[in-house]
Amino acid sequence: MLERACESNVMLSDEEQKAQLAIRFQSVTKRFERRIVLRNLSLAVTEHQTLVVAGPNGSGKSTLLKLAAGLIRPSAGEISITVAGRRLNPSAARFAIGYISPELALYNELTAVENLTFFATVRGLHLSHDELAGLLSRVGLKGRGRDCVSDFSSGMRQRLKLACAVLHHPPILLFDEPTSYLDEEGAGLVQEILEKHRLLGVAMIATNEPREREWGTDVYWINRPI
Amino acid sequence: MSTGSTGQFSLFSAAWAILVKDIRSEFRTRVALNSILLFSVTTMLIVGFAAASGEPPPMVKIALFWVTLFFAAFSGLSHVFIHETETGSEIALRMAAPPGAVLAGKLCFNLLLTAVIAVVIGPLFWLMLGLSMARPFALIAVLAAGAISLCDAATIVAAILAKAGGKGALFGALGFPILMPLMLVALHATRLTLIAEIPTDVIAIQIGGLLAYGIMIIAMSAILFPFIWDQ
Repeated sequence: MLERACESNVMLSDEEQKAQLAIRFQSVTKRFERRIVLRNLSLAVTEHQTLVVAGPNGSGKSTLLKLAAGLIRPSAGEISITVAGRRLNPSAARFAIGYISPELALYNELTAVENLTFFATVRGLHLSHDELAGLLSRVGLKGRGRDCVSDFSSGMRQRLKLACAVLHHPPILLFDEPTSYLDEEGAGLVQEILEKHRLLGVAMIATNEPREREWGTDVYWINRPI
Repeated sequence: MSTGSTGQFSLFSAAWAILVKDIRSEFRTRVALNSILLFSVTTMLIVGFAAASGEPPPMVKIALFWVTLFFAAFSGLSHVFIHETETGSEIALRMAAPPGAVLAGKLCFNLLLTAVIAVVIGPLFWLMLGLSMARPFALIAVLAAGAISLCDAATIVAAILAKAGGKGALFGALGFPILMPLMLVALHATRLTLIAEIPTDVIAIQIGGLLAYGIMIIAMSAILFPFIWDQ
């Protein structure tokens, strides 16, 4: 496994520049008012790579994933997402991204099936009854499709978030603390999703769990503790 | 995975899904409807009792009606975006839905909610305050045009407010400068419908003005909303 450090402001290699599927950060700085969270950061994640972003609390792991998802904009530098050779800005590439984070919530007043159907429809997809049942079964929510999300435990909500993130088969997965609230089986499910996904696309995971660092092909340290 | 009959992404179907989701959520939580009805009924009762002790001029009665509709609408319509931001579902929606579909879906939901408010409080207000109905069809057209424009403006102000991290209390303050011209035209047009001698084309011009304002707000919202939503 390759380990990189945030301080290295490396130029992207030719191979990284030419990749058909990639997330690229070039000289990216993100500041919140006066506080600089990420400084002059350059990195690329290309096909078949799973980049684990590690670092202490407040180091900017979630910020990095939000930047990649286009949920926030960099203060300086450029972020691009390449899908099938087309270079897009992150907000235009959301159709190709599956994102989960602790801040993201689903609709508590809707059932699990209603949530999945809604997110599929707004993405321009139609999921059949069998496909919905299969998706729920895959994330360990078989038989709970008609229950309101407000009645779910935190772990079950996390499982439903995973289902929503992968329902459109995105080539890019951005998982921020993906095993939050999950039991052993749930963590295994995340690992399985990421392992299968490695064959098809790219992924970034923000985590502090030593075990989850093993799931990546590369680890990117931000402010690595000495 | 199947992708529907055409397999093509449709902005209309995404907007429709957002509208249906908001209606379903509203039926289950009744957040917006309850606050609107509570405000409307309370205001109507206070105004009704106050009017019973004296006879205010028709213009004052009309002003009271529009003020009630304005605050009732704003107290409820702000929820469409603020609720998404406060609960965290906004992130999921941003990741999945195109901004145009979000605006269209939310606008349609607010139009529906405004129609419910107008249908409930309009007739009650007219009955309680004893206003004349010289031109009932013209009156309905003015109220409809005014309510649509009010709703258009309320929707975009709600989006700005939600992204600014503001709460409902700021809604009136932010909306007031945008809605002042609309309220003035709406008041004048409503007053004209109470006078039987006013020619229809004079009222039609006022209705046209109200609708033009609403269309202008929609056009501006369509341009601005993707930037507001992506902040």
